[in-house]
Amino acid sequence: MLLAFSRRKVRRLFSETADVDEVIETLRYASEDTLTAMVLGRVQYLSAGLAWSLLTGVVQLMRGAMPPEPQECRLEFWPSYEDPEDPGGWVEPDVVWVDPRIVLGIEVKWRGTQDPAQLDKEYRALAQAFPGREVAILALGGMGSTQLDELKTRCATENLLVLSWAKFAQGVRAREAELASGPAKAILSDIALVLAERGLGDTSRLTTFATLPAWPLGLALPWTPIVPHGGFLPLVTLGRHGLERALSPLADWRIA
Amino acid sequence: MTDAREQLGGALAQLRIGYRLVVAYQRRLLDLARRFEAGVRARHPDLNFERWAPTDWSMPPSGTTNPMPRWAWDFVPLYRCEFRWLTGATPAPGAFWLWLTHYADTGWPAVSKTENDPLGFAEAAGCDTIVWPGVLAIPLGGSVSAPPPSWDALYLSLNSKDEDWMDRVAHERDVDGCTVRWGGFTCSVSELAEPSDVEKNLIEPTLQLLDLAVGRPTGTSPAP
Repeated sequence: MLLAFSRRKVRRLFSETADVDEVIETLRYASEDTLTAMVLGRVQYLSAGLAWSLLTGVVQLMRGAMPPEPQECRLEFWPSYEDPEDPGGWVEPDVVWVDPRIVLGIEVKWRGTQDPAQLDKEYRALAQAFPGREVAILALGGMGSTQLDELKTRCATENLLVLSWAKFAQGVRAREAELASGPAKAILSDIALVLAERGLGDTSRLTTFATLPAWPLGLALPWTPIVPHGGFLPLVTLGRHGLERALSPLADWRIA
Repeated sequence: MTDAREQLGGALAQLRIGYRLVVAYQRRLLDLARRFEAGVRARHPDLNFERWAPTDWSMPPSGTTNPMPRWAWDFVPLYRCEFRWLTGATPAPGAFWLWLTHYADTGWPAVSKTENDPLGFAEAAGCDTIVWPGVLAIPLGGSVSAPPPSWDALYLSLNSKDEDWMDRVAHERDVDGCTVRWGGFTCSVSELAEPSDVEKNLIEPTLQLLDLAVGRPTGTSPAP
């Protein structure tokens, strides 16, 4: 999160609304920049091998070749590069993994969709900024079948990888389960929590309606027998009529 | 203790039971929505949560809004609510808007301008607890006007009949220059006890409906 604050990604939310609760909700559940900071900001603490496997292990190679595994994990957040086709213009990928041999630009989308022109522009800017290195672009999120078709037909990026958030989350949970306790497991656990808050959690442990407490729940509780209007009729169970009878005195209860 | 006090005490004991049951139920409802979301997202990875809201009254007030004049219904937003997702911020070929409406009690009167008193509803046993998936889509190869309207505007212009949302058919019509398909179905929560029931009775039929809605346009007749 510090990354998002320090790169002034949070401030603009306050310019859009004065409602602090709304800003907090957006930061936690909706903002693409805070998701980037909370997830990839933690990925950079992992070993190069583990981080690389999370980002490329289940990736879909759309064009070109899969880049080789980097030697070190060094991520830069929202760096700016000159746009080779627009003198004086700048290009800002969300994250760039810079390695002595390879450079991987990561374009993150949350709720938005990937734009082939933006990916091409980032590829060209990185290729110019890092001559002699193998450059690839990873489009993380923002892909449906329509966008995949568009990327296939309209994107000119030479080495293009595509990864959905759902697959990334699945990979994080799988690697977390494999690891023994330690810093890497704690980091993956944190990432999994962030993703779960975005609706990308493990659905295998969810509750089911089959486990809803069976009616009459009240039999397990100390409760006062109800005396309905018109006579004494102790209710030993809370059947459907029991509840409706119970509501009757509530209907008569008035404070004012 | 007077009769009235005893009677109210009994009702309040049952109220406590009711609250516990409501919270247990709502936990399961939220988890059902998560299962539904994950099941649809497995086929449509670009599915994004859009919003949720009670369908027939207001959201609970914020911390600085006086709650006392508000309807009591405002404080049980999940009783009748909808969860909404979309695959594109604005309508585009292949994109869709999906929602899951939840009615904890079909005994809630359909139209009401005043604060309904639940103690006057029809007998609970004769009512149902349902979820209701609905889809509004632009089929692949369909047209979209420029600039594209919002999903909300498209839905309002559609001015559809309720029964169109219950027959599992992808209806099709041109709306404000956009090719629109829509449809839905209802499902009793009593048919969703186990995860396999959720898959069979809710997620699979929704995916089938999405296939019909997002597939190639068929002219003005309903999709097969």
